[in-house]
Amino acid sequence: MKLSPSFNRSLWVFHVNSGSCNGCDIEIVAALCPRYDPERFGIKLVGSPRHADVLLVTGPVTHQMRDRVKRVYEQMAAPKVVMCVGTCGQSGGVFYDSYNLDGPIDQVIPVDVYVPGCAPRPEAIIYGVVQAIAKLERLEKEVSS
Amino acid sequence: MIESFTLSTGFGAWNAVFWVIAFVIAFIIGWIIWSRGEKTYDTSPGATAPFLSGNAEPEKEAVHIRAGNLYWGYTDALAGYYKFVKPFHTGNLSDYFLAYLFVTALVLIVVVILK
Amino acid sequence: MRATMTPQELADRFIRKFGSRVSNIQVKERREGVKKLPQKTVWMTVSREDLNDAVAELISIDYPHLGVIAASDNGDMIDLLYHLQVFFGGKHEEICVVFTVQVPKSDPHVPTISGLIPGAVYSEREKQDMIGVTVDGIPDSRRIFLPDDFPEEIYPWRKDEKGIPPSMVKELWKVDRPTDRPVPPVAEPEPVEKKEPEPAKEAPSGGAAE
Repeated sequence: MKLSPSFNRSLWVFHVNSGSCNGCDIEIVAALCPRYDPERFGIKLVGSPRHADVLLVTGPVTHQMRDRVKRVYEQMAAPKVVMCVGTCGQSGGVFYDSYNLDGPIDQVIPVDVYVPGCAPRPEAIIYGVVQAIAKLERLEKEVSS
Repeated sequence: MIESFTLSTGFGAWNAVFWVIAFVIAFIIGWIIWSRGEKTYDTSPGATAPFLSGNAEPEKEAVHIRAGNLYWGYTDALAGYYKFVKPFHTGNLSDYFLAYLFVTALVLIVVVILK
Repeated sequence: MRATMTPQELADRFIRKFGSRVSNIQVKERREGVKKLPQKTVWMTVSREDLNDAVAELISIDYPHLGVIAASDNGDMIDLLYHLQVFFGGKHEEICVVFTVQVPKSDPHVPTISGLIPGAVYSEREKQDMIGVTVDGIPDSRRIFLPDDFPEEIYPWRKDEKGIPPSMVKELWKVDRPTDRPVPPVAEPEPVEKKEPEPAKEAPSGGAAE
């Protein structure tokens, strides 16, 4: 897997939990820990969406979180990639018929990469990040051209 | 011209023209750095809003700090005194006038008797 | 060792103090885990007027840990179960005491215990939101888990007409593929060949003798 020169040293990730049970959050943090060590590629978790390239969204979007996820997405700078981690954001997961949810995540913000699983293994999340990098390279070429 | 603007104190000299030149140079440096920035950023109100973990920006009245809040230390330290004095301020003008009379009488007694 | 009495002694103390105001006392001891360690519970039903007295009596034994106030819809009544634990801290010493309070749906009020146990406010607020029990005297009666624009008379845990109507159930799983991107290729599953079952081998002792 070849990283393009623009993202040679840094692919910064911001994580938003839109009401999940935290299982996917734990797997995301596990993917960032020294066992898999994505920090040697420069992938790190940042505290503000303005610093981030990739938005990791977990959880089905509860009613209270819907506006906040939208705002966080708008506050990220282009080029940006949204990854939906876990099946809750894709089809509701175990909360498939709840009264308090506002649709799967792609009804709220446009999603680029889906990582299914409940919770997905860290290897699956890393594979999703690889796909996200490839998509980011394509987007960067489009933005600069 | 520079000599006419120079003000010489006991320890050195002070000249407003140098200040103006310094500000101009600082402004030019700042402008060069600003002009090399990214111009193609998104200017819509959603993108330029402050990041508050996704929450909406509160209205200005909710986060406004009034002038009375600035000297809170003074107000906090004298809270005991204020608690004692506040009930006395009834807003009734006759009460205040009575207080004025009492104080005047006290001052006269002190001045006359104790000389 | 904080435990000063066995569960049966605790139940007897409640019977002595409250007499007939407390009913249906059961002392259960279950065994949990591989080592079959004991887990002691005392269940009793109290009326809502005696609830504060019962909690005060329990506080005089040992200040309890309020786990949760569980609620369930029982036809005409709503059961509120106050799960409290006393003598916690040591291994398997704790006694779980459960006060069951039955509240009629026609008059769904229950007094608050937050005067004695301030942390009960959260669980009581949750009951107000979720099953519609009004807690009298609660210091803070905002919504706790449901959004502020949730409709007023709908209580998610109820099984009668005040529960969640079908119009509020959102079917998130009815999604189609996204249309703004090419469909990813789906790999053909490899054909599984049926193998002939092999003839039964000799007894394993034949191999061990080798």
